[in-house]
Amino acid sequence: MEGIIRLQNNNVEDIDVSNAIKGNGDAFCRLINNNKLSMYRIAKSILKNEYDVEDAISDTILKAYTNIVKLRRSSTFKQWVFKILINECYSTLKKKKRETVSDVFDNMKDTYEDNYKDFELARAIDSLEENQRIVTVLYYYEDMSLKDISRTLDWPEGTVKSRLSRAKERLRSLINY
Amino acid sequence: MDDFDIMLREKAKEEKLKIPDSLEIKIEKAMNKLPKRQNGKKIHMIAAVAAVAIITTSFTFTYAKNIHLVNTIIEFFKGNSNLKYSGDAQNYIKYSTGFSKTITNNGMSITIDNIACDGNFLALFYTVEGDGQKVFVGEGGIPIVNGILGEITINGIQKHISNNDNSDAYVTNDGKVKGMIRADISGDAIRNSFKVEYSVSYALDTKGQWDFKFDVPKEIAMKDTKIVEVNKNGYIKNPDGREHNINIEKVSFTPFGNQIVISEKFKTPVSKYNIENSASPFSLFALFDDKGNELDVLRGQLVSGPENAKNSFEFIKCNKGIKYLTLVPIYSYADNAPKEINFNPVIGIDKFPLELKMSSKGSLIIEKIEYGENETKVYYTKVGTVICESNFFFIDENGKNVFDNMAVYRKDYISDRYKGLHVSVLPKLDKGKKYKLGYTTDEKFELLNQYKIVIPVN
Repeated sequence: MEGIIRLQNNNVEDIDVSNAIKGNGDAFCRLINNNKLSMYRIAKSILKNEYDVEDAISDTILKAYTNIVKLRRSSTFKQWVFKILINECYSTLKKKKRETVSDVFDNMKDTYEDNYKDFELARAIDSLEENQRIVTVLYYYEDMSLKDISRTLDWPEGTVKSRLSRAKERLRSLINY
Repeated sequence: MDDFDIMLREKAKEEKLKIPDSLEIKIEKAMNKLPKRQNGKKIHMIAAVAAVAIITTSFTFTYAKNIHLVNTIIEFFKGNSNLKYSGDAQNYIKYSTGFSKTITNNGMSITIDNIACDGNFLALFYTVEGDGQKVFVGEGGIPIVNGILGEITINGIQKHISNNDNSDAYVTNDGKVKGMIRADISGDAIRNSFKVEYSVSYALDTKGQWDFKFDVPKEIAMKDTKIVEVNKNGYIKNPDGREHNINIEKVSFTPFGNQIVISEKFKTPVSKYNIENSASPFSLFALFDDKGNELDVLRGQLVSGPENAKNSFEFIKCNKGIKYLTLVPIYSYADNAPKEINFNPVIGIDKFPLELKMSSKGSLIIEKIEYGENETKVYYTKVGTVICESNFFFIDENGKNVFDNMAVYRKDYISDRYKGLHVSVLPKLDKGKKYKLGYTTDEKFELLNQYKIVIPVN
């Protein structure tokens, strides 16, 4: 399926994006503040260690700021910053995979905190396979279309669909729906 | 979306997630430590060209007769057989001109080896040498080759940014980066002769300035080209009520790729758009030749402004001798409707051709699969109307996807533009194993014949 680039509307976010590109730090910080909760949720869906989540987000903020001039007019800030963050998370994961399994497990036990007040959906998603979790979070929490998820993750739309489909089956059984 | 999806989205909205204090502090610190940036004008200019990876010293465009210069293009395509335009190598060799100009700045040497132009596309072949960052890690930890980034100017005017601008690059065994820029110039006013300037701002992620300049005589560039200025309006009303007022501006038949250029002025004021109802430009259509044969329209990225859009669409399986084309708009129900046929079929690879039925209206035909020493090549054509052409994947004997994230490994190019033969290049597979092919079928869609547009191209 072709990638239809969503237009940005002439709204506050666009003005902030435009100003952030020109080097306005306040505008950039507003953009981050508006998206930080989503960024946290996304990072948590990939990384289990809370310290890694924090590092990935702070590295993303710096990368986004230094590279915002490369943000294409036709891409939304949200999708773009999610892409950087997901990239950071996968890089961290790659490094972590080189570490011993027991070290990672110990880290998880020590540092993983669940900050959800309603555990049911978040916990169910947490039990999914790694590549299903990110698709599920983007689809259900971020209300992103399959096309947008496909562009954000650089996965074919068919892959997104099939992973979401499998994730749904699993969620259905976990939630007893 | 079904009831379960709706329930999950509602549940997701109800869930409260609190950002830990430690993260809030870290975000605050990160934002306070942001480095000072140069002010905007220059940076903004770079941002504007970032979408177009596209060269000062005067040079006159003549076809390459010098065998060494021709050889540089051959070398380029030989160095990596899986480039985006590997299937068109012979055409680039035929319509290329030697340039071979090197400029060095900030320790980086850029050589424009060859230039090829057919009036529709301008192709630049280059080599970069230096200690810059040749590869960076892209999404999913996949390495991506850094090439050069710059701005093309034609007759003093910045080149129109097109959805069909493209580039590809690879690192050679001796550590150089070789690349190709394929700039769509179909939207630019080209007079009898056009002066091209290419100003490079980044090479291997190193900032600098490398300015190239050359002339392209129109009669040479357009020797085997047919460009028809159509300027025909069309109106489409989708079943969901969305209207498109489009203009078929131009149809080009050229050696590097046929294109139809479609523009659209949006009727709804930008302020009335929202996420669900964004100003999406018209993009989905089927194309038929004067004998009623369906052509293969290549799906790609689109570009758009807030009030209007102009996009080029490549099509294959057609030559310049036809009298007219018929464009039939397609309406896709996308995520909102059930599939027409089984969503995720898996079929055995027993004999060729192998039909992957994508919908009641079209199929992908796998012509052959070549299991090579280093790679696997899947050759396929399309029959009828197919919207998603690349959603097939290999399944192993245990029923699992062989490549977890196939999009990042996979390279697609067109092997034969006239026959409509596509090639997908994938990593090596074990010949001894018995694989199956899984694929995702097309969403429900309809051809809106009531809004068809006949386009004279004689």
